[in-house]
Amino acid sequence: MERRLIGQAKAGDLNAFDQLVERYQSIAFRVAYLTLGDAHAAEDAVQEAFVKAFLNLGRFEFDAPFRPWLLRIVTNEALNNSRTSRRQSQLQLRGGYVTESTPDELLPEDAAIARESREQMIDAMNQLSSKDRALIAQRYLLELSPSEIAVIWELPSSTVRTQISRAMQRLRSLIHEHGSTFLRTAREDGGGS
Amino acid sequence: MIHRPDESKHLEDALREIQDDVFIPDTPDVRKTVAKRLQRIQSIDGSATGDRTPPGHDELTGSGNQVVTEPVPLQKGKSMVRQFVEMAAAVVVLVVFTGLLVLLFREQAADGDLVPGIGEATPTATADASESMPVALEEATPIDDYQTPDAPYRVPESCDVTEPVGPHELGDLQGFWYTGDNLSAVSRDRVLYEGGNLFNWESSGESSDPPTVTTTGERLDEPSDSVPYIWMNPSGDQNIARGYLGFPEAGCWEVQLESDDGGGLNFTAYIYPRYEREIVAERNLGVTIESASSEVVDDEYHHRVDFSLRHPDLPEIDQLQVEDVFEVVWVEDEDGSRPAPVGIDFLDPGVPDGTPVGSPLDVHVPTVPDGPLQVAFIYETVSTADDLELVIDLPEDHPDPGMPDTYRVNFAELMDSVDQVVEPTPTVVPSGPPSDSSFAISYSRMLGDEPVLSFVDPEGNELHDVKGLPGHPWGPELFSIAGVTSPDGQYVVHPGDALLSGNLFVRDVLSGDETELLVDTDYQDANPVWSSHGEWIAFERVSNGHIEIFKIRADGSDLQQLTETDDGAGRAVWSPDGERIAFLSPPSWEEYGAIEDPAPGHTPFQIYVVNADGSDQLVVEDAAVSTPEQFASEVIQQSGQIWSPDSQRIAYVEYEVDDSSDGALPRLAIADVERGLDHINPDEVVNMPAWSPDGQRIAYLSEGTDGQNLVEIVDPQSGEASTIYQGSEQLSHPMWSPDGRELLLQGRQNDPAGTTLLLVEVETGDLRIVADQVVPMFTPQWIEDHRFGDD
Repeated sequence: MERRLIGQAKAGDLNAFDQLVERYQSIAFRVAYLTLGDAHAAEDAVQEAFVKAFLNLGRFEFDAPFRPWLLRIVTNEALNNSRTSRRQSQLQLRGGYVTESTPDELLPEDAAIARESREQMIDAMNQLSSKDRALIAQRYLLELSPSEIAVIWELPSSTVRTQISRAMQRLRSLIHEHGSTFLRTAREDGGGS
Repeated sequence: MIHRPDESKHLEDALREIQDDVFIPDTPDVRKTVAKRLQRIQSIDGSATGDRTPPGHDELTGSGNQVVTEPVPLQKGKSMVRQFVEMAAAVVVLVVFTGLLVLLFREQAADGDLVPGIGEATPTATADASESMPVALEEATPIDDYQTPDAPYRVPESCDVTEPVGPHELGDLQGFWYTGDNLSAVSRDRVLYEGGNLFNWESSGESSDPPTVTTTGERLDEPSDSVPYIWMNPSGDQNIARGYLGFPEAGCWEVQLESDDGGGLNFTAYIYPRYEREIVAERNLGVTIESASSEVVDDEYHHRVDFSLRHPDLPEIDQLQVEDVFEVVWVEDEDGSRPAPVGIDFLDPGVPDGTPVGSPLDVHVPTVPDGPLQVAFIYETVSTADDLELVIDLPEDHPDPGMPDTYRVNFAELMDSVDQVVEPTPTVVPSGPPSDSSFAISYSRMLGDEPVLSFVDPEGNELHDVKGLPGHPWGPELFSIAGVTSPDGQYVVHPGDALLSGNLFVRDVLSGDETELLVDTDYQDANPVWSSHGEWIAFERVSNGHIEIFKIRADGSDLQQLTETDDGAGRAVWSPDGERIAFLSPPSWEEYGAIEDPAPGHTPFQIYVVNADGSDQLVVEDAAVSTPEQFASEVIQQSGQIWSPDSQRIAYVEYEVDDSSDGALPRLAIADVERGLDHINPDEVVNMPAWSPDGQRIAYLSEGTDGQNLVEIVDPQSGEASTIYQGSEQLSHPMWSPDGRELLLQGRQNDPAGTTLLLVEVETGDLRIVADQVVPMFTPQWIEDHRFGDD
């Protein structure tokens, strides 16, 4: 189905491409938003990315996975926007949760701790560079696979792993600066070793 | 995936937990906007291809008595996007061609014969104007005989086609063609009428006034409100004109034409749909495009276009315009300087709102005394490539009066014609009879759409292809796990389809039998390497939360863990005698895989050696690297000739702090596995060292000061180095042939051959390509005692 749509879109069929847009605009927007932190900028980036994707379908290897290819364009677009934007837009990841999203497995008091530290974590995320944030968001918030992320960033997966781990390192030190209780909590709960 | 300190794990878990906490706005529906923008682009394409505008509208003015028709818009009902797509496909390769190219152009001949027939391009530089400008239009064929490439069109019986006659026989319609939405009819040498719209006309002779003509048209077989338009270009003899009669669509049309002098014409015609390929009108205007190429220059959708022009009599090109480029980023001089060479300037393309517009790039090109004019510029590929049109204005006093003042070159068409003219250059040239050498090279390549494992002899003769292998041709670039051929070429070990979650497989190359190396792990076993005699396969497996090196027999038996480290082990490389394995152990997962910008002097990856039975794991003293790649390539360990042939020493790269160069430079380091670091060669910049089979030399890659890539060899004792090859190709992974006479390298240049395998003769520096279209699915390597070629 997707192959057919892509084939038709490659031949210039806007309707087929429209279906691809429909299919992927959500993940594209989420990727762009988590990179840019601004809904309008993200929407612009997604639009631009789809236009570019359509015009560049000729470069798309038919057998390759479409999603990471598209997300690569989205990511490039988002990062370009974030670089060129006059106002250095600060990601406003914000807690969309309030009390109702208390994780079931936590007792209320644990949840309160967790919520506080989660907010700290989001704060820390917001302080990362766009690229670090995008990498971490793609890996852990959007749960893209490392191989997809490798395609998106046009990097060997080893490099992606490295960059993610470095971004995580920076995130961790930011969290430590803020004295987050989250990791401690997670450690106690998670039972690691 | 491998070793994760607990805290990392917690952080990952924590991140996953906040997934739902992170506020992400609802996805806006961008479909409409995207569709609108794409439609707008396509409609720009429409006007660009002229199907709604009579041809020659702009070009006519000021062209003397030239009748300007426009072949270009008559061709190709293709959408711009499609053309772009084709262009885009073309631009990823470097297309170089020489010789005469037929230019497509938008100018029309001087008046005179409007010669029907697809003429061959005629070099016209020296001919007189009328002859030098033959317009090769469609051969006018009798209506009833109109042929398409596949079948004759039949006039429906309901369409009673009449000969075009009238009170005044003003002409006869002789051919039709289809231009996008419009159909045009052309009269060979007379007539034509201006209908509801008189777009362009010219006349000469006694009457300089255009006849007033009215036109009505009605489609008979399928009534339509559309009124055909006609435009005319009387010229030459009095009231003799030629031009086009346009119809909105194919079908049976009744046409009434009246001129205000009492003339008129009624006829019924069946307007045929046109076949694209017959509409091509080609001319050679005397300008030779000697080469044209387009290549990707970065990942920002920028493409670079290069071409050179030559005209025998052309002293100067007055103006070069690049029209309708989405965004011209810069113009590049021959030496690569930017933004533009002296004398060339360009207008701000002015791209409102990111929408492609016809913004000309004006380039004023200085006199070209000798040789072709070199032009290069870079544009953003979001541009619609078929809009990329070069307009070349000649000076008014150019020497050939018959030449038009302006050439227009549609670059996409140009590239198309390049594709047609130039056969793909075979870059793999088997040179002579099959080699009697007992060794071969295995690698993977694309054979049509399918990746295959191929064996070639050192002369490039193909020996054997293994098809039907699972996996992705570019898998190793995504997943860092390449397939590897056993030293005798009999087996391959490969990760199969189940990258990141599966096991390794061993396949008998000739029989196709496959063995799965069973394991019980959530992680993909990775980086398999054969022992030098092909008995064992060492590989990386996750054990107790981090990587250790294991070995297993090719039949899947005798699994054994070889290393035991605190923080993981990887990049196993067997010694030539098969007795030992060198590997790296990083201090932590955080460091593992850190391959970018290592801090000078920071060498977290310690080199270890362990016996092939797992005993005597030891640290090679003072031998450590900043990045794993300085020790062994992630996907090319098998052939990594980092071991000396006597299995005593290891060559690797160490970054040495270099004050003069403001950083650290990669230097060749040699360590004795028992005594530790021996010495670091202080002079050369070294990448990817490979020890020769006789142990006397180490080959490596380096860089010349002029940006050339060098293959050098050094005597590891004396430090004396020499360059054996230099070239512009991106080279990687040198591997000595078993006889030590040649080096196998991977090369990449921007050409259609993709990644190639190159052999450099060590003595002579001669280079030859033995394979192209190489994909990284399998690691290229030397095979000894192969069994191919005899059968």
